[in-house]
Amino acid sequence: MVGVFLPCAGLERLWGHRQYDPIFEAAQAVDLPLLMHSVTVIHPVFPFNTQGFETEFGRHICSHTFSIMANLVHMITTGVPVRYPDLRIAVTEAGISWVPFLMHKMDKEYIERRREVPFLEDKPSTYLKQMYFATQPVEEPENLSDLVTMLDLYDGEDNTIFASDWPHHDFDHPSKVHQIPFTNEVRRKIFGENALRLFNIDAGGNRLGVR
Amino acid sequence: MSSERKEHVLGDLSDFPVGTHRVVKVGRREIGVFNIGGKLYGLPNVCPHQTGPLCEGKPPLGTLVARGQNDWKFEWVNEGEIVACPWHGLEYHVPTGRCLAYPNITLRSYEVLLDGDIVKVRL
Repeated sequence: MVGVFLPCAGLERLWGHRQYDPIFEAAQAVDLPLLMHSVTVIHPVFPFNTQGFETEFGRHICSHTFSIMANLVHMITTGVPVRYPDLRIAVTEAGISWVPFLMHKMDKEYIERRREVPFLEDKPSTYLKQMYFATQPVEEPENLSDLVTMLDLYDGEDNTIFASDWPHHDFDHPSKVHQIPFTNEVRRKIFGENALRLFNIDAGGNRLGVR
Repeated sequence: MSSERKEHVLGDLSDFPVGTHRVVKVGRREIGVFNIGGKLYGLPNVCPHQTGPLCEGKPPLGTLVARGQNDWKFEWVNEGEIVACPWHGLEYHVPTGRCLAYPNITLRSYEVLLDGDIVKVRL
């Protein structure tokens, strides 16, 4: 599997800044997906002003997810999914429960500020839903069916991908995602078919024709 | 009961100068009447977002778009044709009623007629 890795930690300019356009252009041209990933860093600017935390508990909660949200918001702001419509964008190591939150926050702002994002032809959630989301570190609500609802909120059946992060400390064993009461059809997608589509490969790992 | 639409007098053309707009009442209906370049348009004075008084805001302006055919540069277009709701700023293209933010939303348009110098709306 080959993709274009976008580090999302400690960037002065968020992804979506026009200086990065050549990367998106090249990725689209050679049909490689983008894989966004952050790490825990301390950097005295949002979203990394994590020096205020005394614990890894606080830093780790905020670093990955907030960084991913900030970068995605900026990519949508500058119309990356509109300007590069064949680009496949995936988010890793941020969990999934923030996706509905971000959808709704962006759609709300869009009502008042469409002029600032004139690239968009529809509400921002339309574009967020086109991205792929890796499950790890998957949230573990007491009632696991809440995750089924969560996926429904962002139409996640076709763009959610199991990820383990093995062998890191916060890995997810496949059994945890398997316990979520999805239908078998959805399980099949999350445990394989969606990833094949993201990487444009067949089940044997062979790259399919460039689109 | 007649299903024929009725014409209602809204005023004299001099009450609706080019480049202006105002809200008129017909029965319980509030209609924003816009004179854009000599053509008259009518839109409901209700924004479907949160029922704001859509046509009571500033005179129509243009708006920003960014299109691939112009290398995604910001362009100012539809000068004088875009009304923004004074509550939350949702924009509409007056001649068509099209909502710029939501392609699935189009406002109903009222037919505003000119009978000599008399401005009428057909409901």
